[in-house]
Amino acid sequence: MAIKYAITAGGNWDDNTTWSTTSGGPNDTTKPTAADDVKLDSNSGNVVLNATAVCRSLDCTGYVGTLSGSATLSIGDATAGDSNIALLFSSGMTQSATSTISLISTSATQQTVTTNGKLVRGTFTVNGAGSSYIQQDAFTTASLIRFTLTAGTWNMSSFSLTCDNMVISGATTRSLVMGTGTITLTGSATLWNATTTTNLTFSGASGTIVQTGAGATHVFIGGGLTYGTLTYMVGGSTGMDVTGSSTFGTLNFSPDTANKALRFTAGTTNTFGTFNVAGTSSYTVTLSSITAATHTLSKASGTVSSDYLSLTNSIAQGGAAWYAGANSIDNGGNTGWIFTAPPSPSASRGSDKGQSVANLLNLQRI
Amino acid sequence: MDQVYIQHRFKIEREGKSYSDALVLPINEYEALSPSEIENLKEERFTNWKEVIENPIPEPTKEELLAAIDKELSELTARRQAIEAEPVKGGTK
Repeated sequence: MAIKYAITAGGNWDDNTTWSTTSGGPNDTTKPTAADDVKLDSNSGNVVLNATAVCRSLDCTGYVGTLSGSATLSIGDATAGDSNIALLFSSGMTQSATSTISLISTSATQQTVTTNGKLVRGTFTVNGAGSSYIQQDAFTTASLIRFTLTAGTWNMSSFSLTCDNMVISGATTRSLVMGTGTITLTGSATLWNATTTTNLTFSGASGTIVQTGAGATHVFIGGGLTYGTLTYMVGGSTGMDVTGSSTFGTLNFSPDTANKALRFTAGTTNTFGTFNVAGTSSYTVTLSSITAATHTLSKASGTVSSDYLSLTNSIAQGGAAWYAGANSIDNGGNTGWIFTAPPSPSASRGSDKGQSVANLLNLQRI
Repeated sequence: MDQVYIQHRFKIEREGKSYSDALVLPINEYEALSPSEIENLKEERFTNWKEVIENPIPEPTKEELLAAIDKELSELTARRQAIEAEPVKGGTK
């Protein structure tokens, strides 16, 4: 194990001549191995990820050069990086590398990931059996870049995490800890994939997942997990399919500039604490199943107050009073929905917390 | 000696968006910043993040995907031809 500094002249990661054992020193060593901690510091020049690269950690504290290239970078070995840093981008550097970055440590020591506002521009994967990583600040990928949690623990530490789409499906032991953080998904297809939850620990009941991408139908594969808030508020998308039987603290779904479709997998039961789903006098929310059979929506108590829905094959149950609203349409196959406005004139549409649809739109418009 | 960092957490809730981030800086760099510079850094982070979520690059079209595949095929074919044109290394059995 050694610390390797990129020399002042910089160079290709894969060249031995790029590396030094001292900051600002001569090229007196070999390219980094998986056991080496790489430092790009104030004495380092531009470095190009030109071939498959490995290191135990990448620490760019004080670096003002450019990290570029597109070759895969795998970070980690059986021990934690120097100062328990796994990855640290400096605020003064230019991060233009489009490399796939994989965190593959097998050390149980919690290691830090700090991006200092720099975008991760290549697919990002956490795949270290028994590993533990914690964000030190917000984590944001460039457009179209996926975040995959395959093995190990990723702790958002209540910071924001933004990516095109997120995959947490799999069978290896892994944990996602959101805290009160927000995951913003900017993609346009399957944005959340929790298809297989074997050996997954998901701590997201206090977190928020927001979809901001355009495209056709967004797909949220819930995997039967318990979520905090899921918010769909996307002008350019046609709607959202929710698969699996999951639990949501709050579901926010409203149209803004067009009719939207919210569909659930037939035969599933999704449970809600708050069901903020409503259309407007201009745009309808079509609420149905993905296939021609019924789905079930459940809420234990209180009143659901919607309006301007077009409802098909929807069973509403659980103890709450489910008011579809006076302007909603019953297309058949519905059970438990009441197609009138709620009895109390003080109850506002679109929320069972007394929040109006208009206010909801203002609060969440992207 | 380990570098000492300051982690200055902040949250900006504006325009219906919620953004939680932190400035993570070596203590000497952090202490050199004025309060207004720190505020500017926070604003810059939020603005950059807002740009990412409001203007994501659209998914490539079918035509763009096919063109990218054609380009890659062309490059691989040229590489194959170059390798095939190289003299065979090693002796005969």
